[in-house]
Amino acid sequence: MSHWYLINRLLLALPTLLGAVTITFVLLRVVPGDPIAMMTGPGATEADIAQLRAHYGLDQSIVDQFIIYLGQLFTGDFGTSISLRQDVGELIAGRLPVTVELVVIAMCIAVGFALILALKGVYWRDRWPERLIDSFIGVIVAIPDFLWALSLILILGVAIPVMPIFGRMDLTISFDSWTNFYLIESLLRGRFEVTRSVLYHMVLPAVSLALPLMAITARVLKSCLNAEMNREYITLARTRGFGRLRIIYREALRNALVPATALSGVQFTFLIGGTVLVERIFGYPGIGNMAIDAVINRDLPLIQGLVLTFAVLFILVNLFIDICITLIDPRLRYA
Amino acid sequence: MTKILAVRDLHLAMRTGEKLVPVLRGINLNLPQGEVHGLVGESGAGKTMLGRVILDILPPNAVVTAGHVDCATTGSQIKSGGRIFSNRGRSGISLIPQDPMTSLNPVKKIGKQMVEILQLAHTGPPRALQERAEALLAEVRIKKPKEVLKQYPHHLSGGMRQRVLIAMAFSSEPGIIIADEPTTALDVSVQRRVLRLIRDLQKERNTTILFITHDLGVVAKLCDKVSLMHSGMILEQGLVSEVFHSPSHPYTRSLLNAIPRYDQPREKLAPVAEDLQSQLIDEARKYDQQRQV
Amino acid sequence: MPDGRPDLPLTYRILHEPRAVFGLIVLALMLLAAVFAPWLSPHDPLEQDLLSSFLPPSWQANGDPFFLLGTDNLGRDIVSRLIYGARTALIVALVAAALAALLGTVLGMLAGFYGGKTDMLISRAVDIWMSFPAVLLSIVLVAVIGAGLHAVIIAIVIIDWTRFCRVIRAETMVQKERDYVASAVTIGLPRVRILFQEIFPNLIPLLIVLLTLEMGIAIVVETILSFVGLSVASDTPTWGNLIQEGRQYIHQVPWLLGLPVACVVLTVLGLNALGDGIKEVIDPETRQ
Ligand SMILES: Nc1ncnc2c1ncn2[C@@H]1O[C@H](COP(=O)(O)OP(=O)(O)O)[C@@H](O)[C@H]1O
Ligand SMILES: [Mg+2]
Repeated sequence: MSHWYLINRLLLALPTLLGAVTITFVLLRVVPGDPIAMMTGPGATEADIAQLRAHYGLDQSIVDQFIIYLGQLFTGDFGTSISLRQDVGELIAGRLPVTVELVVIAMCIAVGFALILALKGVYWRDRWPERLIDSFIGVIVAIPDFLWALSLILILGVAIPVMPIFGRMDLTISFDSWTNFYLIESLLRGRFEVTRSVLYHMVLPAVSLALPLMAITARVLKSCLNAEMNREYITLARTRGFGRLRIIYREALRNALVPATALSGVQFTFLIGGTVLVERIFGYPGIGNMAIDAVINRDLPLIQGLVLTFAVLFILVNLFIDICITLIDPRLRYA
Repeated sequence: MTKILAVRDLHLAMRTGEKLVPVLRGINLNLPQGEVHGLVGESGAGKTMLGRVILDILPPNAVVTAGHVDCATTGSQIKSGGRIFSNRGRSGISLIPQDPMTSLNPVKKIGKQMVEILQLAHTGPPRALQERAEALLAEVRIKKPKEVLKQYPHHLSGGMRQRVLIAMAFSSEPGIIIADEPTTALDVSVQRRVLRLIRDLQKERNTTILFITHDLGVVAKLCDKVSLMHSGMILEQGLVSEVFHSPSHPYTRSLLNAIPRYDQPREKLAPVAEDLQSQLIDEARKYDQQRQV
Repeated sequence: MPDGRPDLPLTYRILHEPRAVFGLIVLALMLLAAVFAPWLSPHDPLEQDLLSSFLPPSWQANGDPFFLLGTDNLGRDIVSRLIYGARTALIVALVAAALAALLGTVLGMLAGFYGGKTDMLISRAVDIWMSFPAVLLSIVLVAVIGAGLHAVIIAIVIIDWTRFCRVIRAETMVQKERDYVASAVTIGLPRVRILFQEIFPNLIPLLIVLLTLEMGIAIVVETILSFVGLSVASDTPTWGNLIQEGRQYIHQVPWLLGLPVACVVLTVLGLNALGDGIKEVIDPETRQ
């Protein structure tokens, strides 16, 4: 694999990004609601409204607005949020690290447990532990992250109140972050009480996000592993006297990961979509939570910026998955 | 001559749904040390299943219903109900598979796969095992063994992969090798070279081989004895020279008549007349009924 | 085992598949609640009584036997709101799933049957569609269309037709190769008739499975949009609105959140089980 491959992939992603920007731009300009009216309230005069409208560039034609917007994007200017009256780029930069940390932890949880479930399921093939694992996966798959979040709040937040259910960390701790990546930054600065509190608050939202992804990935990986176990090279490994555990882990697993990663890749992007609701439910101050407020307030520049951010996240996750597959499968490396 | 492999009255059945479908019906086989024994029969005859019983790698739905297999080089006995097969005994037997394209692990380098096999029987620094692997590849007449060790299976041609698999099969110095149609998947020109390689390696080490094939021409050149199989039964068994000269079973006769020349490898057995075919299947069915009574 | 008896009629086998039966029971309960809501509810779901707000379930201390499962922040009866919520959920589920199925099935059948350019166009559209995050898309869509049940339904149809389209396209391609299609072609039946009269009946079992699963998804989406405040007006009794209120008062009245969540979870599990059960009966080989 060369860096040319990476550059190529990133260039291919540009049209997708432009598409996402264009579609949301057009979609949002046909919205009936008037963001300026919402912002000013009933007491404003015509002149006030007109002035604000001009200030946000809303008095020009859609095409002109779009060209201006694209031009600003290229200079790194995402515009000014109407409802929060702050620079959109700064707003998102402040919230993005929150979501990124949550998403990364959730993905690690999902992948880790999916591996355990799939490997155990294949090891106990056709015996009761496998059937138990299958039904467990079946129930978890059926329930979306939104409902997991609410159920976990009820069970671990209220019925047995052991977990915090609101916010990113204890409000009694003061932590001036420079980067907003609390987890990493607190570790580096040796503020372990912050790390603990952040992790503690992250458990329920991350698990809610992780559960559906975990179940689907486990199911896909398990069926790929089972398919792999019927292959000829596995039979040969058996004739040599390698044990079942070793055959699953050291012969079949890596081969099964190739199709399993490709098949469950899109689910990883669903997890990112899931942050919108899960962050809302847990009052988690990430970009997902922010997106809902932006939509409710019809804050066009902010929505626009957030959609662009989500699109970039999706593209990066897809790219990461592609790279993983290439690293796992030597047959793809020199293609 | 020491007896290496003894198969006695072996019956095997596969469980499909509720039913047990017989696959092997009273197989008897004796292989002394150094013998190359051809096992011939059309596809579905049960050749592969017989090999898998001997290797103790039956699929989970297969059941040995009667008889047993004794193997001297592994010290194992396989029979209905139980089997004794220590992992260390495995080095006494190995398999040369039919399809070299799917028989190597695609995500591991050849060197790694060979070293892992060598580690089962030898202890030693990785360097020494690496050198041993290199020597083995040289023995199967691979030109640049050092480079091949660093390659992945998909870099190699079918013939090369089969050589690697042959090297792997011989690497543990097994007393007996099951070769399950080792050349069927290869090009005709490659087939001949691979056969010669197997024969030479066998001669040098005096290895016992159960050679499964469709090809009577190969049997004539390579084997000492031959068994002809149909519907899980051995119809005729004997020295190659005798069976080829004066076949006693009509099935053998019809097969031999269909061979134009011994030295031309064939992809498949010639079709046997339909009435003979159905007669053989009838016999198998009668055999099952008698056993049940 | 029922799947070992392909000779028995389909309804019989479905009624002997435990998962399908569980799903049918859940569906029947919902139907009952939805149709007979005015008679089943002990109270008007909108009737406020600020003097008796936040009442706990009747069997607890301070509970009022008059309000079986207690009241919400405005003193509205929770039982009644749950029952009327089932009505909303079922309407959304049926209408949205049916419309998404209609759109997706027609496009999927065309793509699978005609192939070529038609297929390329439709499949491309599906790919692009599916690369958008569903939750975000639905929120933006509802923001564009405006809040309300119709907006929720339109959003679900716009997003979820792809689920039908993909599966139906693949199945149409399989069916197209079957003998009965070849013989219909040799008699000279027009292609459109072959597609809708010969192939379509064979797609129905699969379609039922997809519809069942889609109903579950539609109920969740409605709940989500109510929760976010983009569905019907917030005093209308929907499970999502109840959940939204419940989340606010979670420490005072946890059952206000727990009861509607339980309703949604049970419904979704039931519909999933029904879909899986039917799928298993129709086609035992597709079992994971
Ligand atoms: N996994 C299986 N389940 C049931 N029957 C099988 C299975 N594998 C093979 N058989 C049956 O066993 C018989 C022998 O197969 P096999 O040993 O592969 O034949 P050969 O190698 O001579 O072509 C065949 O009739 C086949 O139908
Ligand atoms: Mg075979």
